[in-house]
Amino acid sequence: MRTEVIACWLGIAAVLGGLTVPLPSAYAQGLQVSGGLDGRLTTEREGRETGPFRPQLTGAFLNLRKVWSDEFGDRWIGVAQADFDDNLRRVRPYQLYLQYKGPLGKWNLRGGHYLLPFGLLATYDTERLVLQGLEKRSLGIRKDTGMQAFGRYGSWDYAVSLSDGLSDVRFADSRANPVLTARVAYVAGDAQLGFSALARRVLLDSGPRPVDVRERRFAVDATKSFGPLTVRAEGVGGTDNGRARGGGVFLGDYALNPKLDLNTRYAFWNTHDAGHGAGLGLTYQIRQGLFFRTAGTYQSRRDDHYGFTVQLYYEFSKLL
Amino acid sequence: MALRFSSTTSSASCFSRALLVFLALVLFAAPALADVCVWRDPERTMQRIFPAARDYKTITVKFTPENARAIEKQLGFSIEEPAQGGEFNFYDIIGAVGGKPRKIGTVIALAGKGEYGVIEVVIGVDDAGKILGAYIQRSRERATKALESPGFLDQFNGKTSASSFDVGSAIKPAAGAEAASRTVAVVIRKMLVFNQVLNKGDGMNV
Repeated sequence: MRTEVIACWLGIAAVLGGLTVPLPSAYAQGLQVSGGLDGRLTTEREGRETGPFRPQLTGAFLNLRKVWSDEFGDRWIGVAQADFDDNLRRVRPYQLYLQYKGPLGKWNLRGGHYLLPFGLLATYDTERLVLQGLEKRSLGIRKDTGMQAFGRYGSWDYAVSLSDGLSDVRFADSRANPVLTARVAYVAGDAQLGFSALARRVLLDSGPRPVDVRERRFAVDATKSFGPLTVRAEGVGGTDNGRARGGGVFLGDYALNPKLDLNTRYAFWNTHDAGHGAGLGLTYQIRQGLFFRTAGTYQSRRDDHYGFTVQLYYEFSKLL
Repeated sequence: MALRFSSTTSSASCFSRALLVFLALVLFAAPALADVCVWRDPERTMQRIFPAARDYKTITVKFTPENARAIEKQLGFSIEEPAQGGEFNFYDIIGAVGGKPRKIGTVIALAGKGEYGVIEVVIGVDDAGKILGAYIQRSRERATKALESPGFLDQFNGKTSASSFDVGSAIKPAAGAEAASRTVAVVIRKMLVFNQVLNKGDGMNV
């Protein structure tokens, strides 16, 4: 557990250190510091169904980003982000990596702790939104530590990642079980169609004894805008030790005016449990960087559950 | 996998501390958003405007009261960018001449307010500040297709900061999107003036 905290501060130190120790023959740019605060009044509970309204600072994050250029262009990118969750009681590295960008970005190499290139998660991170994607249920893992190669070829984007699988395991056993993730996507303007695959071994603690599970997942994801309407959808299928698993999510955002968005979500899943859920919400931009969000959710698992969340979200960015 | 700072800390005191942090930051921190418009998917779109591009280099320039005044004087209206972020990004496009790197132009991205959210516009200019190409990076307007059409956007090719951007006379508006067309024209003119005043090779990384 301490390694996460140490990793956070080592990463931050590494990016900060780049200010004074630039990489060979490189031009170091300024340090981009950004951050955010995610405050909520909610009936939703992590790992449980729902409860009475509770105010909380769900998360705060600090992100440092630094770019080093050579004579042809931006070449090295360092990112260190620490998240402080649950009223600042928990700290975890969110993204912590060093990236080498090849010419024109046709290929890139990234090493460290990063979001996995799988499904919608590859292009759309819903971590700080009220209505979120499906990956916590369909994969049980969103980010991991390893190496990733990604880039583009013509109209296609590609990404392949090999990571250690230790980031989100419920039992921190001594084995590092590799996670192999890959995605290709056809990109045409603001539309894209992606195909992803993931394979890993994981110890699940859902029963009386930990179970060694061989997880295989495939996904098709799509994103497209139709004027004020942006739709994102993902279908996931696969197996856990040969047993069929599946699910899907649809996210739709409709701009009612420049400051107000209507947000919708529908998801269903059959993974370690089965159910479906729906959500309807509003996002209002109070001013630059400050958002008010609210959403009502319905979830059917063993019973029906209704939740309600009000969020105040603030983000900032500054070059030092 | 989570670390608790203190197992004895009560939820109430944790929340109080968190609330104080939240309020202090929201109330007292300047709304400093550096990338008023981030250039997305740069490599793919870069080659559309600069087929000879080898790569790009990000140049970040800070707004100062002096250059903000110079920009506003040229534009004839006040700008909100210095208050929003205090800095602006240019993307120098690097080509190769005789195997040696050489700047062949600049890409600039900026957002304007549409009827359904921001309209993000990207232009490529040569070293003389003349537009080589323009495209809409993101728009949620109902008439987005008309805004993105070459019939509308190609009208900006060849323009400089000294050109007329008057929609109706110098620029024919996109069909069914007159207000959005005006937004695009204003945003493009602002980018040209920003480039003229701010992008003098004294960015943060040169």
